[in-house]
Amino acid sequence: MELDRSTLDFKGPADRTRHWTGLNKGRPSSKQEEWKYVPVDVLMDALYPTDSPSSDSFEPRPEPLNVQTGIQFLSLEQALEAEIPGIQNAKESIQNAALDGLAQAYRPVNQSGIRVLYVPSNLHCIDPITAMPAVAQSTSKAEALLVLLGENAHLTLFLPHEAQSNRFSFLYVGLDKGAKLELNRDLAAAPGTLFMSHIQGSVAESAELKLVQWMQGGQAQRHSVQVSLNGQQAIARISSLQVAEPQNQLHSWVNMIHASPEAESHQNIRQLSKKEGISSFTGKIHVALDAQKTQAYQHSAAMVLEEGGRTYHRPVLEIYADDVKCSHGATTGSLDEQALFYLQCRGISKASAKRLLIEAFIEGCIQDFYPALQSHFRTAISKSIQQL
Amino acid sequence: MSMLEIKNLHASVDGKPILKGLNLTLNKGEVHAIMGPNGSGKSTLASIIAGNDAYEITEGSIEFEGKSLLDLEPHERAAAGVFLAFQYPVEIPGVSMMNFMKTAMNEIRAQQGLEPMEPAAFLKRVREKQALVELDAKLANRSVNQGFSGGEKKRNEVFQMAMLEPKLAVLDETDSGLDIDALRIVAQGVNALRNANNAFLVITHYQRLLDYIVPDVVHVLAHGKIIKTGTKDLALELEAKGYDWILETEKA
Repeated sequence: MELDRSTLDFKGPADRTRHWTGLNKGRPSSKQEEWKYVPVDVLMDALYPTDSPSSDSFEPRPEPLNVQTGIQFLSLEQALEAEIPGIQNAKESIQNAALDGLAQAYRPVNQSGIRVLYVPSNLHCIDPITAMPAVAQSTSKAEALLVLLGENAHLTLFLPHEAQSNRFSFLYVGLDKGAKLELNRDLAAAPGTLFMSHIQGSVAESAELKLVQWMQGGQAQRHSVQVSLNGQQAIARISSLQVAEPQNQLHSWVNMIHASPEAESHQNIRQLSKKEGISSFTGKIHVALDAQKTQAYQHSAAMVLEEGGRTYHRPVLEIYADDVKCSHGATTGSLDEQALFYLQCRGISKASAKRLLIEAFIEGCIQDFYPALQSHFRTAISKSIQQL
Repeated sequence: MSMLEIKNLHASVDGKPILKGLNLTLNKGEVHAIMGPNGSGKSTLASIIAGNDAYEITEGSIEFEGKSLLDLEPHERAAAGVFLAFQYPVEIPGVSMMNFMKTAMNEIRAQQGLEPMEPAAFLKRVREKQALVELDAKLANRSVNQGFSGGEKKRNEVFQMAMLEPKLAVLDETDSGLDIDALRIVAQGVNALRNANNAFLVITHYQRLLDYIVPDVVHVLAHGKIIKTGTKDLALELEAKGYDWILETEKA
């Protein structure tokens, strides 16, 4: 028998599932699991001021760079008119539960701000394309980018420097059978910036979503990802590298839903926190009753680089199928003093030894980025740890 | 001038005295062995020479080529020519052996005012020194000591020593955990590096290692100080009679 989860009436302790499933539409609260470590009030008050008049002067994302022939970049109206496959699902996703428990009342997506990037079936984009962020944004409206890949379409997409000012951005990813999307996000925020985003992903049979993100800077950032693996052999790989600078807060939340059998997911998280920097990762693996032969793995490792830094991991496994391989691991530590001494004994200065150890710690994540971007992030981390 | 001169060294860890007035003089071209029972302070001495700040020096001095070693950071000591072969080499996941050795060599060269080594010259040297200690070339592509067997770790220590060519090498129980063949290979590497301009301080529990690395002087360290010094024959005597003999003699 198939369960219609939307009709379930949660009571008692199980009521918390409302938050995971997006049934709760109220303003987020730190009592909710997915907002546990996040300075909710700071983010909400800044991003969703109740006294701010709604503005119509909204500038959507400009045309992406390096768009190849065959790729379409459309407004929502144009995409609906063209009957782009999957557009209805994407539209409903924005309208309904997609905002990760956020109340639509607080942050309606501006219809005119929605842009659709569509790669038709069987089109393999060899060169990566870069989706530029929206230039300016009103404080009361969210922007949205819907990325839809037809059957067996392949795309590598860069999302660079998303936040130069306070903002919320929404990204929907819909992958049809056999499609492959490699998404590289540079979530480096300007000092003092508040930045939130949500990715809603739907991955069909034999399709593969690879999401790699770099989080650094700003006053506070909170990024959530919800991926539903809806077909056999669907694969999702998520890598997140979080570098919490002093007084910086970085929070990531992942909900990996295995809705079909024989799907595979990997979550690979690395967190660094400097003095008074806070970083958190809350990651859930949900395996549905009939999602047998699921393989789901989650690994989160954190390193506290200076006194006063804090990191949190919150792994959650909710498994209803009985023939699955699922694992999670979480570690937190500081720089290994014995390793530091060993390196110093070979003539390497303490600063260089620290750099070597930190670079080794994050390398597993750096290598998940598109090769051309790796040196950029290696340089960024070298710069960030120079003063340690 | 002696290469290493330790005078009246007192050191403690967490307030507990370990070394209690140790004196030792080592000259160029010499190999000294330090033997002693468990807990006598042998590894503490090795760590202190290398610059481990876990130990507090409460009294005394260590001079290396006439300059105080205690004023230098561990990496400065390494650049000055001091090398410690660890009893338990540390595993460092993610740092490749090649990157580690290249960084080490170039940082030492920078401290000595030299240009970084040319990549071709570096690779040539790696190949030569690997052959010296029969270290599997594949290990160079792995992370430092990660997944190495006990013997490979010790050979790797001697390989690093060969690469850095120190003036003074302190071998902290390099023989522990080695089978006969590995012991022979490690000793062979040390003997190949031995010359008139360097010196070795070999810390060991057993006389067996000294069959391969023949020392000029043997010291017995007990209760935090050198209680007896002699020739290689002293090691043989210790092997035959045990440490109790010498401790009782000392007491008397």
